[in-house]
Amino acid sequence: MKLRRLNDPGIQAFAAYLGNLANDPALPVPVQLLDDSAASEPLQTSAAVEARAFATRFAAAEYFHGVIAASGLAGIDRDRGLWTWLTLFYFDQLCPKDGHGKRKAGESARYVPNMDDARRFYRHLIYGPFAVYRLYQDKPQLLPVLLMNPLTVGTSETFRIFVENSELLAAPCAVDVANRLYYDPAKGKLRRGAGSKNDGGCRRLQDFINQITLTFDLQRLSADALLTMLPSEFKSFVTAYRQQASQLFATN
Amino acid sequence: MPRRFNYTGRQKIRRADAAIRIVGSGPSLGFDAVLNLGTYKIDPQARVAVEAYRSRTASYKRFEYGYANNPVAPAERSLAEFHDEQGILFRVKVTMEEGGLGKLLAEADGIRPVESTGDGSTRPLLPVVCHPLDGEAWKIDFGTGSAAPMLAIDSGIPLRHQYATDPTFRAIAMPAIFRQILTRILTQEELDEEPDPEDWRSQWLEFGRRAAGTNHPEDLNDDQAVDDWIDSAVSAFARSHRFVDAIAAPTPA
Repeated sequence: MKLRRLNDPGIQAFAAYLGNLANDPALPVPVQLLDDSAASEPLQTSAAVEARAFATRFAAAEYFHGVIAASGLAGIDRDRGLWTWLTLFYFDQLCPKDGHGKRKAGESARYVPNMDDARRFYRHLIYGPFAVYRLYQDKPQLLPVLLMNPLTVGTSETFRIFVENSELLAAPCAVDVANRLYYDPAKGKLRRGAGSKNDGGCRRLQDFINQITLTFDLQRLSADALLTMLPSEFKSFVTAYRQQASQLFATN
Repeated sequence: MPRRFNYTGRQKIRRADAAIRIVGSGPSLGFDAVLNLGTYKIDPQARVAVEAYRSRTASYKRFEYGYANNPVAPAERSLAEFHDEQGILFRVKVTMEEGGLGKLLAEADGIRPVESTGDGSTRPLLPVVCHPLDGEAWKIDFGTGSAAPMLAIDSGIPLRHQYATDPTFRAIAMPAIFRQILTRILTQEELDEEPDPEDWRSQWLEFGRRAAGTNHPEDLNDDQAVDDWIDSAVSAFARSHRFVDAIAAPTPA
C-alpha cells in the first residue's frame, strides 16, 4: 500500500480508538482510516509498505529506513500523520490480540508520536527504532543491544538510557561497548543484569561514560580503549564478552 | 543527586567565541561557524570539531575544523539530514591527542544558532512550545543534554500560546516553574567555576540572584542553604509580580 499520512481528524479518530480499547479491548482496528480521504491523505511519493512480520525492532527499523530513504520525503521527523498512519497499518503487530481476541494498548506515545518531547519522541514503536537506526545506518552491527526486542516491547532500559543522552547515543564507542557487554549474540537477547541499576549495569555504564566525557572526546575514543578504561565493577560483563568472542573466533 | 563542578581543567568556550548561524533550508540546510579561539590557552596543534545534534530526533553530525591555531571550516557543512532547523544545537570541542586518546581541552555545548532575523530582539529565557502532554496542562521540558528548558503547554488547550501569558496562569505556575528550574540547576546540572553568561544555567541563576538579592550558596551540598536560597528567590519574584493580587482581584477581561 502506498504511504499516506493521517490528517488531524484521522489522528483524533485513531487516538479515540486507542482510548476506547481500555473499555472494550475487542474493538476492531479502524483500518478504514488508512485510505479514507476524510481521515488520511496521499504523500508526494510512490513509496509503499507491505504487510510483513518483523522479528525485532531492528528488523523493523531497517525496513522503515529503507522505505523512507526511497520515498524522498522531506520533513518526516515532524510528520505525526505519517508515523501514526504506519502505526495503524502495522497495528496488529504493535498491539497484538491475546488468546481471547483482546488488545491491551500502552501509552499513547507508543502509537501517536510526541515529536516535540525529547523524553517521549522515541517511545513511538516505529519512529524510535527508525531514528536510532538512521543514526547508525553505516554501523548497524552495533545496534542489537538497543533494538533486539520484539516490536511490541517498547523501550528497554538500555534503549532509554542511550536515546535520552544524545552525546552517549552519538558515540560509536559507547554503543559498541554496550553491545559487547550486554548483548548475548548466542541467545539473541540481553545478558542478565544488563538493565540493572547495580554494579556493571547499563546505568552504571552511562554514569561512567558521562564522567569521562568531561575529560575525553568520545568521538576520538575507540571501543577497545573504552573497554580497558572500565572499572572493576564491569568485570563479569567484560569476561562474558571476551569468553564469547574467543569462542566465536575459535569456531571461525 | 550529584552536584558536579568542572575540575578537569578543560576550558569553557564562551558563546561569543563560537557563533553559529544556520543557513539555507531543506536539502541545502547548512551552517556557518565563526570560531574565535585565539584568547584561550590551547595548544595550537589541538584539533577542533563542531558537532550538530538534535536530541528529539536522535540526529547528530560532526565536522572537523582542523587545528586550534587556525580553524578552517570544511567545505561540506550540510545539515540536510536534519531536514529542518528547529531544535538543532551545536557543540564545539577542542581536543589533543594524548596516548591514543582525544583529551578534551576546551568545549562549548548547547550552542543555539544565532537568529538569522538580525532584528536585535532578545531570546526569551523560557520559550513556549506546544505539544500533547498526556493529561498535564503544562510542564517544564528540560529536554536532554545541554538544551535549555522550555515551557510546554498541552496542544489541546485553546489559544495555548496566549495561555502562557494569562495573568492567573502566570500567578499560579510561574513561581513553581522558577522553583523547579532553580532546583534542577543546583541539584542536577554541571556548573562551571567560571559561568558563561550565555549559558541558560547562568542566566537562570543570575535571575535568581537578582530576585534573592544574594548569590546562591557556594556549598551546593548544603541542602538546607540551597533550599533557603531558592525559597528566597522564588518568594521575592512572586512578591515583585504581585501574583497573589492577580488571583485575589483578577483584571477584568
